[in-house]
Amino acid sequence: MTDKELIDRFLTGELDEAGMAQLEAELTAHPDLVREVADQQQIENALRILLGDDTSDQQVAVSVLAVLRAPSLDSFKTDLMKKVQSEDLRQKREEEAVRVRTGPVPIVQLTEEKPVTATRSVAAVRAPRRRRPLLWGLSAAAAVAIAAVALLRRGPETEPKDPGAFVLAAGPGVRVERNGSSVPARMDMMLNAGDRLSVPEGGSAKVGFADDTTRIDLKGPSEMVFLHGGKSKRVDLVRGEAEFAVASQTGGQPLRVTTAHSELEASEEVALRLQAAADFTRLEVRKGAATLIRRADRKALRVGADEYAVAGKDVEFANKPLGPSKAAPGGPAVVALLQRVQGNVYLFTKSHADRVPAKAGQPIRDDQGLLTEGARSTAVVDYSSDTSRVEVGGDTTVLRFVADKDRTRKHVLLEAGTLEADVVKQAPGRSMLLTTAQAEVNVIGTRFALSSEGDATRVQVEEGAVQFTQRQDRWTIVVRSGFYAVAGPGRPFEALPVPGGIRYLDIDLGSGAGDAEGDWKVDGRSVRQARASREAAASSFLVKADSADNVLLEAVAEVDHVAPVGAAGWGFGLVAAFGRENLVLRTIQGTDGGSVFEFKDAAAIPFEHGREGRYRLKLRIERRGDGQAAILRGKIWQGDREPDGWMIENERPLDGPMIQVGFQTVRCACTFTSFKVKVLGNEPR
Amino acid sequence: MDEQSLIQQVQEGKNLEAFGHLMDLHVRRLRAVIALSAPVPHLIDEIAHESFVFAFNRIHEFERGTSFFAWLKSIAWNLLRAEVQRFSREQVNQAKYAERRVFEVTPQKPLEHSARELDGLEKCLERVPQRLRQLLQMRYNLSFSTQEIAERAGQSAAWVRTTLCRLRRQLRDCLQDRIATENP
Repeated sequence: MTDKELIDRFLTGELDEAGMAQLEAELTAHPDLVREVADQQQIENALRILLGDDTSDQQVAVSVLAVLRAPSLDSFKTDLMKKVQSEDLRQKREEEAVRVRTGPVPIVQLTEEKPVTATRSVAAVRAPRRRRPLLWGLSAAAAVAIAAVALLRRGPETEPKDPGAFVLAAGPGVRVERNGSSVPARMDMMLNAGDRLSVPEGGSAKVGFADDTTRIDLKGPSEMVFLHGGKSKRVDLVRGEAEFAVASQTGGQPLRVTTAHSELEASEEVALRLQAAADFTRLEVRKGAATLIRRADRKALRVGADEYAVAGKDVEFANKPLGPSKAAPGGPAVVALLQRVQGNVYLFTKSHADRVPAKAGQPIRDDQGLLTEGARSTAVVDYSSDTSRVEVGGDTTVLRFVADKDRTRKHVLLEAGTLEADVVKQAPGRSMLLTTAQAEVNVIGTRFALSSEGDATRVQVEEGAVQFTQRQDRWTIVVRSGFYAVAGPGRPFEALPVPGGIRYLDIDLGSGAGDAEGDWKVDGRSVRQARASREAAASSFLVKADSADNVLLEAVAEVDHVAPVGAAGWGFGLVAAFGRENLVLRTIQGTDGGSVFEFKDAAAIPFEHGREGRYRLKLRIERRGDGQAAILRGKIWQGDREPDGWMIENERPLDGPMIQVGFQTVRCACTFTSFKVKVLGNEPR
Repeated sequence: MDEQSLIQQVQEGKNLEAFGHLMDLHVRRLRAVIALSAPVPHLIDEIAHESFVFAFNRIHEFERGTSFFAWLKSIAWNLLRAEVQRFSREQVNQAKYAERRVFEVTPQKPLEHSARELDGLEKCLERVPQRLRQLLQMRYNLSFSTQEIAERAGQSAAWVRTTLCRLRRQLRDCLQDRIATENP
């Protein structure tokens, strides 16, 4: 193990004894390393706070408020002694009166007292990596005090008052229904038995129990009824989804969660996710184990780590692995790859209830569908046979990615939702088919968006053309770039221009050419370089694109490799060629603070970025009235949030119409994707 | 309601709700500043907790119109110093060798310095390239395990650990450069 791995394992508390021995030997041999570990630890802790969620902030706030609300320890002791003394006095009087001891001594009603609190409660006993909420420590101390007094009084066994649960965090719109009235949930709010917590769509709420570290994260839309805390924790998950982090319940009853179709019991430390839907309940266990009991027949199932089980109508009640699906020899074949996953994305085979969480890099088999839950959940699917790509939008279900009969043929079965397809030119007779309940889209090679909602299907073509067929009457129309059409009852079935006149130039990357120095390769809709040019001279890839209109070029550039740094800088950018002149918008990163974003030989602004990552570029070319000069604007950014304004602007004459577009790199190798050239109408800038 | 009005409410009536709002305003930054000074992680929340309790109980001593966060920092600094001394006495024979050595070399610096470090760290974070930022998000925001991060990034667990370690070093260097530039 390297020093860096040792340090990271040490910081995350994952160093075993052998690793710790190795680290100690390294620290002894290299005293400088001790300081490095100390520095790393402080940055690690600061990053956890700065980038983490606000749970720990809230726990500190809750613990402070709990201390401040409680009576002081002195007053608690005084009150306690008074009660004990008065109780003794009362008993003696009773005994004297009847001269017979008829029953056990009643217990002092200590449970009405607020918890005993102290300002230092969880100091050095806490494990370094675990942040236990201070309040739980305080409440536990109070519980111990109460139990101790109860034992001293030798009274009958009485269940202590339910220490309850707290709202640790509540997003906007989360409400608590109590005794017929509904109030907004707020942090630090105590939950009573019968309280119903409602979390709206897109919202979230966290609930913590007062006596241990058990925590429930509810995701909206969901509803949960709190029933009991303490040693017999019980909640009813009425609907929706929740993540449970359950502490060991030794010494008490298992935590019980009821849903319409099942009962869950967890007695050991376990991390799990429970989904209560109308037709089924689904349990996924990440860590530990829990028991799922099917209500219909009381059959119980022990579900272990990385397993899931579903209880519901017409669903097999059995443990199944949560792991990524693998194509078994002789079984279903892999047809595509999940390139990117964001939010809640699942793969399924027979039904939605049979789903498993999807991960980036996971293969998709020919018998699998994909669904995304939530408006912001997305997935990018690349076909294995070529570089055709389907980007699946939020709240979307794709039943299949290939045809049932001929599984080498691309056939996307869209049940509901939206997707964008970027289809590489298909071989003759092998066109790609996309089907919804209302329509079919036949594609040879193009880029378009398809959505199916309710009783209508809409297709909008960015580039090229598609054949769009209304299934009801088998009527087919051709929809070209800049047009859209809708198939559905009572709607005219025709191609209409997209509002704003959006149209894209047909760019055939396969016909483009790059210089040998850059070693450019076209792979479907991607253009990549096998190696970086080591010379300071630029390397370009250009493809034919005739236009005298105003245009907007955009592309995503991923830096794969930067040549060893010398005195010269490195960079990448977009190119538009006019007659004998190339217009280049690029970033050049210098080694001596000379990093710029520039229109080459015309204008530059200071701009620095890293040697890796994905960058998005836009170049807008807007001709002036005389058609000779043009206003040029450019921007570059990382991530999904595009800057509102333009970063650089320049005005210069152009040598005739645009004839070529493409990319340029300097001393680096990049992969360019999502390249398109939009023809601009009179839309706002 | 602004900070000074909240403080006034607390001073006039020991208003817990107003104090809760004050905590919301400062708890994250106070914890982060303490994190950049504390020699052992578990002291962070402990000191933050005690600082707020102390501040509430002595709120009448706070001079309105001055910086409440600066006052909190000074309370936390005194508590941290005392706690470190206590900790060093009690734990020195119990801690494992590595933890003890780290504790010994961690310099005792004023929280004011840590606050400047925190400002620098936030600015340095803005410059982290997107791909590495995703790594930080997965580790520190989403609390993914190293193995989960490795699967998502399509890399080995060793790569994840090494890259994160390197990134923390770069962030430390970056914030120190910033402080040195601001105070040559």
